Amino acid sequence: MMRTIHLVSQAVMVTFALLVMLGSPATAQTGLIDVNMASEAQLAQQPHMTPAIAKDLVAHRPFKTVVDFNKFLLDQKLTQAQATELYRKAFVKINLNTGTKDEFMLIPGVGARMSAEFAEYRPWKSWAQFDKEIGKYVGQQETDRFKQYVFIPGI
Amino acid sequence: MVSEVDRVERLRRWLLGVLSLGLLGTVTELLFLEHWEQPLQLAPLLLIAAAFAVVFWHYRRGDEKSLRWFKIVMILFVLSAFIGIAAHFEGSAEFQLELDPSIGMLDLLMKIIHAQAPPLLAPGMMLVFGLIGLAYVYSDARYRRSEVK
Repeated sequence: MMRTIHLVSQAVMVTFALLVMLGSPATAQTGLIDVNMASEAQLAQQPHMTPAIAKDLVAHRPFKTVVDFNKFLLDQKLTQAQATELYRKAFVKINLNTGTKDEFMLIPGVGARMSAEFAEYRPWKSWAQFDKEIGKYVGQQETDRFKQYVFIPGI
Repeated sequence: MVSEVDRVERLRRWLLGVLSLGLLGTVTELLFLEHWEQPLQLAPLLLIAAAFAVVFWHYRRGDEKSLRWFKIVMILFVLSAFIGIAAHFEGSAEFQLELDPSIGMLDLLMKIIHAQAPPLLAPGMMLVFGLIGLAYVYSDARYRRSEVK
């Protein structure tokens, strides 16, 4: 009897570990690449990037703001729509307390209305505050997505 | 033995009390929310101020003129509720359309209903207040006798 319980509990633990391992790559895929930190090889694999653009990008780093990065991409003959598609994978994070409207509006899914909300609730002091104030407009799932694109200094 | 007229008058005083209390609570909440970012957001604050003025005026004078103005303000309350719901809908839709410009109408509607802000049906309070106010007006003896046009 004890042996059966032991075997069942081991099977449960192994299954749980497998599920966690299988789940990890998917979670990692949702994370954004920091354009200023990523390797040239990583950058070259992103949407609308070529090895030549990736090389040039590395040579131009660091980008102070995502607006600078956006200008670089447009100079490389990417369209704004292509750049926006790239921003779903790679970005230059924005300081929530000092970011400009132009910076916020480069976050996919953020327009004038949401960028005004980002500015209105300054100073941002915690992620809990961000969850509360932004979550009420677009729900927690979108709020979590926005959090990948911004940072609160000191947190 | 309380007469029918006394009973109606007592009920009318209750209506006025409930209306005043509701207005006081709502204006307090709107002030705390700083409900004045856009000019249209001032509408409920101005209407509530007007309502307090006509309630006070009518309470003091009780004449036909004050009753008529009371009715006008309450009709404006009812209208403002529908305008407010439309404005809240539009405000919420802006956020959702920024997120997904290709969203379908039904999905958009569901997202707006589930969004905590702006609260879609909150302006419905103005409708409730307006109807309470109109119940007060039309239960006035002069209206019951069709003396006031």
